[in-house]
Amino acid sequence: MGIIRASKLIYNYVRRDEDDHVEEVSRAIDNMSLDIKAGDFVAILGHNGSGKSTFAKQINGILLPTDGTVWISGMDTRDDSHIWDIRRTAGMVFQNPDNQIIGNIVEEDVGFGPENIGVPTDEIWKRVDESLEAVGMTAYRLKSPNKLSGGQKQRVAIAGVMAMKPQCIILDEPTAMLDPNGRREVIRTLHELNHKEGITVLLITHYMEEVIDADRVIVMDDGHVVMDGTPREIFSHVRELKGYRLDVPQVTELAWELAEEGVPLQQGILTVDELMAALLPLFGETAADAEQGKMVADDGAEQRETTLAGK
Amino acid sequence: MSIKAEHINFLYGEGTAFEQYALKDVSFEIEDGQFIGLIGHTGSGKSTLIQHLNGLLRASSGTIYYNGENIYQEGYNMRALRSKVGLVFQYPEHQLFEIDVFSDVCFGPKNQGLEQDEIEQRATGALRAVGLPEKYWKQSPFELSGGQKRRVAIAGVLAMLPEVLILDEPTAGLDPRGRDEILEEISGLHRDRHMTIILVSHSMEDVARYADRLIVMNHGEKLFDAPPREVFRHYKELEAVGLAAPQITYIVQRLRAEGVPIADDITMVAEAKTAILQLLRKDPK
Repeated sequence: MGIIRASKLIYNYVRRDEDDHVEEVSRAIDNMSLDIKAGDFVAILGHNGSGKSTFAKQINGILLPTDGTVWISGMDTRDDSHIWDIRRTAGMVFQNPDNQIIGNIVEEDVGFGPENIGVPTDEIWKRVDESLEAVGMTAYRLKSPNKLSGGQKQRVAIAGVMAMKPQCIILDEPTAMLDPNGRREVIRTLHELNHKEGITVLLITHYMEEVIDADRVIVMDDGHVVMDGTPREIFSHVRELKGYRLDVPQVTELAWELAEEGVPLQQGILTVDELMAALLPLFGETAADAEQGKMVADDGAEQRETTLAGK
Repeated sequence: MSIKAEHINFLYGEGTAFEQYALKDVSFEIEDGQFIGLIGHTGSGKSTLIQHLNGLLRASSGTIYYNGENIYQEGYNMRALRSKVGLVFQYPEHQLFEIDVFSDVCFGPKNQGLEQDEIEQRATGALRAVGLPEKYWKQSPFELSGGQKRRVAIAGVLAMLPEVLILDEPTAGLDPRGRDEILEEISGLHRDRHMTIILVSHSMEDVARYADRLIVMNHGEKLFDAPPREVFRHYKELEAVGLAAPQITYIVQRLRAEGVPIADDITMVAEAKTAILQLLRKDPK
């Protein structure tokens, strides 16, 4: 049994009127079963309202199942006596770093969690050191969090979770508010934690490029799992993904579009390197034309039309 | 008709030991009907800059002209400026508050002191412009999905009939389809109503696709100001300031490095596809 397991999970949001009568019930999770192996890097994709965030909140007991069961390291989330163990096992990081940082200086913020649960002072400092090291923020430990970039703030938030010694981190769109550099920083940090510390990572995101290095990608729709596989398997189904309001990385899309036109490229190309390896040999025969200075820009009309159509 | 910024400086904590430039000598002119992409790392001054354009922040020095008039001159009507230059903040749905969608969109024009008929006409027009189906208009805005809420918030600004629409990361947190839909609506306003758009974005792919000009900010200063395909040629410099180019740019640069004669200013999937197909098929000309 994996570190996170859900069986026939159902969750309803219930709206009540002033007299506590049920006014409306909407089902956010609908018969979802899932088993996540310890040490995996798992990405969850799905459109707004597909149930991703609701599922994430089930994992550390912020929400409890309407029906079905969620186990974290074998502990049933509905078992009150385990709730703190569960939260220590599975830490959460949210979208907006500014809402998660409370300390005046970085090290204070990171130490807040362990201090709160009564960890001895020596041990707190040890954990602060290790956590900051793990996210590469040691140099900033005495800085005010206000002075940090978005990516750095998010790494501090991750360090704060790491200081609780979790086995698993769940991140709900941690890069939505970050610039490209901040996004790269956070994703790189997560992979390092996964490799070096063996932390199970569950990453919820709307950025397709962020999931290509995951061990496993889960696609949610209508409150349950509709696709489950390696990034290559998932991104081979371009049309199906678009049907779920999702997308593929640009490089995957280009390879797919070219393949549709009869260019012999395999499905599920994920990186620029892979596309180059597949595409360059095809240019072998045309290289001679290149020598003669036949530039594509001179071919004119068709390309210009596409440019306009794309605007 | 234009917005013109001349040597704008903006200092935080002026006169104190913590004095810091948020904007440093920024100048540009935005012509009527342009679609501008405003990009830069977190803290580069993008949000500070757009708040200058409708007078929410006042420059420490420098001048801003709206349609030729200095907005800092004695007696300038700032209130009128704010309805002409509409600003949609990040996560604008956090500012929804009315009992139903339609009332929320009416709030702006109501504040402008218009007649009820006119107010309702404008709200109707604005909700249609953002493509929100009529069945939602009498619902509470809080019951809508993320993308729909955001549409309502944008409609609230559109109902003021702005000439310029500034949007601060309007697609943050939306799923890919939601992103495309909102951007298509915005692009429609630009195309059909000739509205000037300033789009603040962290998505290089999006600005490559929609903007006809990019202004790149770095540490409070303007770093580049040119059409996207020219800006993205400088992808290495962009990386050095915390940005990037669209993935397609990297593919094209790699192909060129390997001797494939593909144009170096391609930034979109459709263009790259056409160009690569042409090269592979060796069109006999």
